[in-house]
Amino acid sequence: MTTNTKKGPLNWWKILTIILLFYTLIAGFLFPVPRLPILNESIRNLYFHVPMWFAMIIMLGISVVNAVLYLSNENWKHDKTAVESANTGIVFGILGIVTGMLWAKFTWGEPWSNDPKQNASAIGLLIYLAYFILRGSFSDPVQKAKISAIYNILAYPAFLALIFVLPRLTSSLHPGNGGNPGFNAYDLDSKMRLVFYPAIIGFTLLGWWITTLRIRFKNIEHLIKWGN
Amino acid sequence: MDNRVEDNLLFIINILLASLSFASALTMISAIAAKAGNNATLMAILGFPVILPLLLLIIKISKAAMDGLDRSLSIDEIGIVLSINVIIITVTYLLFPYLWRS
Repeated sequence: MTTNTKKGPLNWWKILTIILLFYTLIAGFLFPVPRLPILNESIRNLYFHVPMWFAMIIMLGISVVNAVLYLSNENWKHDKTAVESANTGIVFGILGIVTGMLWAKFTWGEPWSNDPKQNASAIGLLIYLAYFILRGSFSDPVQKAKISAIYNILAYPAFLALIFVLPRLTSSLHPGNGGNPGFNAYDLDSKMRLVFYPAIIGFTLLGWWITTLRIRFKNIEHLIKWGN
Repeated sequence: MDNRVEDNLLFIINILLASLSFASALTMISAIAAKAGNNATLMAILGFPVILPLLLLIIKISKAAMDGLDRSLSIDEIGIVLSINVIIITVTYLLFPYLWRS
């Protein structure tokens, strides 16, 4: 079974995804990291927790771009891409919260300390869960696509404000917020960057891969249900 | 009753800001909910996460106004509420025609 009959078994970027993710796993767990108080070995979570959020923001960004494209030319392809990339974005968001809770358990003392950053990201995910509730409440597919695209565009700026702007104003344990220095300030030495950036690219590409698979799955489902 | 507002001007400005924020955010949300069969629950579900950041900021400003803190401490929050408003109003202004026509 080949996944793409024209170009051979796998596209170049899928091979790149596999290489980058394996590199992240191996280098992330085995390469030397700076010794820091409190963080200790848990600093390796930087390679997994932070790329989750990067991937989520990028996937949701793709979703918004496709929502705008859908409103401008009403092509079904864009609606499908918008929904599925929002889906993948939510999965990354949940993984980001879970990895963050794990990290918080060992550095802040408990998994959920009602930190502004934690609460904001949980509420931020609610925005996108509401997006799917909204989609579920329509029976007419054209209305559904159009109005959920409008909500999607409205939600993204509110989501960004919630996640990036708000936690910075209050005191937070999270690095980069409430006067705490960001990670760059003290520990992201050049060795960590060598793993950190490939991890971001790898997880983002994985997100896009999952999205394309889901779109193809939906297309086949549609074909089986309705014919052409 | 020892619960007076110390800084009346800031408090009134904050009330105006709050009304503007709620009006701008909820206009679009309620229009969307109305298109989805006028479901009252949907309005709450969609509105809550969008309103919450604004609400938190406004509560912070009004607390500062009631305690009579120096106004320079609240200027950051006022700026952010205003900029969120500008973003939401701009997006709503651009999107409303699409919602109306559908």
